[in-house]
Amino acid sequence: MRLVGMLMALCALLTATHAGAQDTGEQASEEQLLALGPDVEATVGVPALAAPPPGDIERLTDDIAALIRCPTCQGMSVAESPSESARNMKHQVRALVAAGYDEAQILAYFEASYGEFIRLVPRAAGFNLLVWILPIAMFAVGLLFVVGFVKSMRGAEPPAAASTSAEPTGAEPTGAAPGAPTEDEDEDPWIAQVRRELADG
Amino acid sequence: MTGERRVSWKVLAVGGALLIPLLVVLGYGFFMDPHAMPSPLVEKEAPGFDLARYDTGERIALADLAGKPVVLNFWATWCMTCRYEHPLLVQAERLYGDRVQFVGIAYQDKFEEIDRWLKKHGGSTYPTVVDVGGKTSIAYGIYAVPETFFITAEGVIQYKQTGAIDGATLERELERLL
Repeated sequence: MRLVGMLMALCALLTATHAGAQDTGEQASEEQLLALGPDVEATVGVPALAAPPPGDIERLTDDIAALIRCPTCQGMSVAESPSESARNMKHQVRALVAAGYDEAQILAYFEASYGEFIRLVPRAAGFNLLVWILPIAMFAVGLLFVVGFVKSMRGAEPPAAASTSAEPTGAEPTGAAPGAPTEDEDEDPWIAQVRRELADG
Repeated sequence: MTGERRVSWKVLAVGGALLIPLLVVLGYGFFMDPHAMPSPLVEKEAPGFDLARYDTGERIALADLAGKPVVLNFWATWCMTCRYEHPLLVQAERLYGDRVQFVGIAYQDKFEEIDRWLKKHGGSTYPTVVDVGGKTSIAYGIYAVPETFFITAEGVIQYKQTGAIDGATLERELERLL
């Protein structure tokens, strides 16, 4: 019981410290949170959709916030990050969703201020296409390379009969299958010369 | 007497096709400043704002400042580098204040903290407004503070400084504004 109590106290302390650390700004009023922010219409025009039903606003906000990078975090979305910047951005997403702006308009609004970096998932167009295509292309080329290499290794292996009967006599191998590479073709010229010299005595 | 190795042009072509683009991308990265955060707002119309001063509550809107160049400094009392930049901005305002409007925008900050901080750091010769809720900071694409925008008399962003500004940059951009 005592251990549980200590753990609960520790959790409460950590939560309080965390919340305190994230809350450096003046508390915004409901009206300020719902305000669209400067120049929304000038940037992305009028809302593309009708205002969604209140029950859908939170889900839509989470979906879109998950696509926006938290500018003060490492690879986290605005939906995940507890930072004050991220929370402010999520409020902004919520205000835009409530006004009827669609996903493309909301992403375009943030992109107009922060640049393409703000998109957590890069747009699959132009130079960015490399991000999508290159890993697949490299995997395909690597696979072809491995398949080709394995095939060439198999092709280079002499048949079992030839390898057991071959003697370093300098004579032509007799057990090789028709069409298979001869010892001389495969062998390093220097090794071949050593063989010949040994055979000549 | 070493054995001659046959060059496989296929292997070379495949290796080259994979390596060259990677080397180009890596080489390009060497010439990029990893700290540079170019703003898409430069050379575009500055986003409007209408915010209250921390001390008097009087509202200041960018639209009301039209016709005069503006230096917009996003800062915070919890920002360490802002304390080094502050005296420089105050000094610049003393020199250029008759021709350029300086405005401070407090980012994620509280009225009483701003008051305390400014009193401790020699006050300010220009107004500071507070971006409660952060909508203006979002419109200006603020990553962190300090960030300073130089806005022409026509309302176009001429330059954005990320991080604390130095005297030479401040003077250069102020002269460009005039």
